[in-house]
Amino acid sequence: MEAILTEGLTKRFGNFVAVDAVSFAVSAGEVFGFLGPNGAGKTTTIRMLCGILPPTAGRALVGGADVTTEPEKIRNKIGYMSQRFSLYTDLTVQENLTLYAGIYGIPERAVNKRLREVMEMSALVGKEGSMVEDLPTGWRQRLALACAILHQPEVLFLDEPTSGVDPAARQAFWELIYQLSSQGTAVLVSTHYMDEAEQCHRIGMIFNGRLAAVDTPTLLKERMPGPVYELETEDTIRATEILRQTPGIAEVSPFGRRLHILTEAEAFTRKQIRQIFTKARIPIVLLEQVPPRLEDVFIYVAQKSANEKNKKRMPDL
Amino acid sequence: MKLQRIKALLHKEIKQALRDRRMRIVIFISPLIELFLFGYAVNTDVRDIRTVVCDRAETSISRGLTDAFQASGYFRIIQRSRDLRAAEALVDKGDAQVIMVIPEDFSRNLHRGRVADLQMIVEGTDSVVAANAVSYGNMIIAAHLPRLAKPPPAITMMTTMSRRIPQVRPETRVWFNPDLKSRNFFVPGVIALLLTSVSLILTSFSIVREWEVGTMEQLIVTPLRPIEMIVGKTLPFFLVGLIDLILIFLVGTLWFGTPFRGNILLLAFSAVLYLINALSIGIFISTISRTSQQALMTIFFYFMPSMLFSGFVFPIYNIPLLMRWIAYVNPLAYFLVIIRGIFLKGVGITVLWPQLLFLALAGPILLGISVKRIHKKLD
Amino acid sequence: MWSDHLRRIGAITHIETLLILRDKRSLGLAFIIPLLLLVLFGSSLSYDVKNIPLSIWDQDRTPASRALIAAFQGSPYYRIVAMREGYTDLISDLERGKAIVVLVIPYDFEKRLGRGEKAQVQFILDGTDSTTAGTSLNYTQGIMTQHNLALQHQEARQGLGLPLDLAIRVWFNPEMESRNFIVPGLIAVILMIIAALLTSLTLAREWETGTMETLLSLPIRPIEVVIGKIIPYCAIGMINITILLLASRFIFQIPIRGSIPLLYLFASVFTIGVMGLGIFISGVAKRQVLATQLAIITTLLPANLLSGFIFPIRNMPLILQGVSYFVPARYLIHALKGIFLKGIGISILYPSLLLLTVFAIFIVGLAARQVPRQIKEKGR
Repeated sequence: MEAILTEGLTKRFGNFVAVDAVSFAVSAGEVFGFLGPNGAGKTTTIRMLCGILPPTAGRALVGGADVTTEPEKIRNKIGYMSQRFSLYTDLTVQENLTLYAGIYGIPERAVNKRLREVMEMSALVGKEGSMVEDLPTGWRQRLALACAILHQPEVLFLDEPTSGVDPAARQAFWELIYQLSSQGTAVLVSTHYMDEAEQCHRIGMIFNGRLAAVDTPTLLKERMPGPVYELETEDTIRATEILRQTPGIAEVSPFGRRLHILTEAEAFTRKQIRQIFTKARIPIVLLEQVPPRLEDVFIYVAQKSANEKNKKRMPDL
Repeated sequence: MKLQRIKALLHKEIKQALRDRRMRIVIFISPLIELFLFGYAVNTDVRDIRTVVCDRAETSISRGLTDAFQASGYFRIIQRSRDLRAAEALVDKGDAQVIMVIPEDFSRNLHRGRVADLQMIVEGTDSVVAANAVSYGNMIIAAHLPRLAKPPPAITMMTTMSRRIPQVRPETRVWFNPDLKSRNFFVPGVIALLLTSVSLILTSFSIVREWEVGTMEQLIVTPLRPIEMIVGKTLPFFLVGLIDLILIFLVGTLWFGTPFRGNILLLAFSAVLYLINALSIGIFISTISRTSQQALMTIFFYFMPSMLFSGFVFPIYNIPLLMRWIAYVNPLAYFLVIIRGIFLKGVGITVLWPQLLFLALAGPILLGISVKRIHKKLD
Repeated sequence: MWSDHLRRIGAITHIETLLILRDKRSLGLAFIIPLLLLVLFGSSLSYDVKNIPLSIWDQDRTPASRALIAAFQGSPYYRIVAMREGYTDLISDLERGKAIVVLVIPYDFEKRLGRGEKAQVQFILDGTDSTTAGTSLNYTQGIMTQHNLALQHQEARQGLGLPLDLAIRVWFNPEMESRNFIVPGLIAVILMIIAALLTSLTLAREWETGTMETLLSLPIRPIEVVIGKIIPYCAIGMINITILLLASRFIFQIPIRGSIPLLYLFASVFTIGVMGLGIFISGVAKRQVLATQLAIITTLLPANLLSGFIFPIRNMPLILQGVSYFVPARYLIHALKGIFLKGIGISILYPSLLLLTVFAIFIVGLAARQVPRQIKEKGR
């Protein structure tokens, strides 16, 4: 039995389709990453899977319970960390944890032990008496995660859990996620950060409410239709303009000071690019093929999805 | 419904409410402040009406009449002058409320058995004072009449004859509040007022705040059931209401000397019934408000008509029939009848059962409606 | 320099206005509540107590006793609700509140009057509501005196006139309609309530939702923040003033004898002051629920109780009389009553205006001090 299973999950707000026929599955112990721009439908999907937002159409099973007919059963099986920090800033760390321990029904005699376990896992030991409003963001996120795992849920939903957190803290956070997944918890994480997405077992890319691609990071990268080139020139702006108008080039995206050129076909060579630039009289400083990064895949799929927006069928990669 | 979850929520609510020292102060001091304000500021008894006397006659009779006015306690003569215009200026400035004009031929007319004119000019902007001034004036003159008839024989005859004229004498007794202390009327009312405002404001703000600040989102994902959340969020303020009740009861009876002639248990019981009503309304308002500002405005939109049409200050029988229905569906009105009955009239269930019945029926109905709405909102 | 100030103030005003417009319900209620209060109060609530419920036990049942009952029947102040037999029923009426006054006419009423003696009747008054009880006492006295005089007229063969004729001239409020007296004061109280409702959450809201920090980081002076916030609420206040004035003039037919621009001037200065007070409270409280409680204790209750609106200030203990000098509503009520009913002008009213202006300036300054410039160290 899958930890999460969705079939054609859809949510409409009036005429606006926020989530459009999303279908995927997540197994126990798997870390599944939701990648997509703001407003793509990640939070809405997560909310439906938590049982707090009824779907307009489609079906979803979380921990075997149906979100539409058995939302109450789901609540004991899941942990949720929302995008916006939603714990009590006017209570201490300990008090927040005690509250949720009580709500999740952890037996009284086991509470102290469990609290200690969770605090050790989240590296919150020593901060029990601190007011949450005095804690920096990184600590707050760890507390939110701690509260979400008190009852050892089968499924964990994390909505952009590391936004606003420094890289070191982010890495520590992900180690924790891995620890949980190795214990059998299915984790659904939505994120902006490519390096985090790389660490997921599988990734689902969402654009405009549609699931455009689902696969492991490696396989996703292999799905690029053509080679990816990295370019450095003097006149980046004109270069981008010209390249975008060239057929066979799917997208050009900035990469630091350089550009990444995403091509449509295997046959697009460096020589062809040099020709374009010579004709436009733009000197090239550097041009080489690079292995596709997840970011490149993301941009490619995004652009494809934007083009396909008016069509009914999903783009095939 | 699991007790453990409710307990956890209760713990949190109490900690949040009481941790802020100023909240503690406000919760327990504002009842006292309100009580003292109502107890000392509220005074509808009219005395010491500021009077200017324009005595143009200046005889012993006219002076005797003037002294009678002063002695009554209802009027306080702040100036005597012959100049009417000066007196009018004082009224304009607001220093005087009444001018008593005794014309030159006053005593002469009395002696001759003719009608003697006495003019009382009353500043009518404060019509409570004005009405009272008029009737007090009448009373004093009527009481003074026999005395005026003393010296000249002609009048003595009149007096003797007038003794044979039939008269109806009213013997008036005032029950329940013999000194007519308006304070006794208002102190029980303050209890009702406070229970209402605590229930409405504290409860609805507590719920709305969670939405506003975003913590509700974390709560609804948990196994916490809507009914458990309601209990957890209203119970603390239920207790606050009862504590306020005890506080005002003690201060009202011990310090202000408000009489308490009824049954304490009945008082507690009816307070509980009323609290169920008021808390339900607070919950309901929280379900229709997204922000604290909305909750506040909605609370007042309900509260002010409720207070005005409850008999708190204005008697219900004086409200035009068309608008009186508001009072008939207003739980506060029923509770006021009960609480004043218990304090001042000393009556019990046998007299108050209609009001108690209303509260007992309305409470669960209101509660049911509000709980249903919470269910809808949380799903 | 000046234009910079104005631009920054304008920016704050702009944001605050957007927020206000977005909350349609609060905005709607901000206009509905004042009008509702005015109409309810003005149309249904009055100190001219009428229809006092009266129960009667007529033991005599003679023309004389019926004449006395007729005197009460004819009076608009009383409404006879029941004719009872026996004390038990009368007492029950009083206890249940079915009657506020009870009259017992003894069995030898007519006989005694016929003999030229004093006949005694008994009134029992429910004193719980002491205000109306006191008024009722007066009415009873009045009706009884009238009745007595009527009796004496019948008996006096020499056509003796009343030895004393009390002519009453009532100034300013000839009909003695308490409505004329109440409405100007009511307008002041309503303005105070609305001001408190609208502004007492402003800064506390920012603290609770976290937007105060953003405000801190902007290059803007606290006084500019306060003025920028007051402006849209004052606009609402001005609209309310207009609505209330129109309503009192056209719905209640209350004449305005004085200068209307002066009315507006007073009301505007007052509104600025109490809105500044609201912002001050919201800044001190830092939590919305606390701000509400504070607003009630410091603005609503004093405005209703200590301003002279209903209860005469001179009857209060000295301490409270002193406190009442600090209640801005007191001065506005005095001014409004004067302008409405007496038509007095600025030459008499200028002290009040001055006081209100000083108050407004002072409190806005205090409110500005509640807008922080730095994050204070938390000491808890």
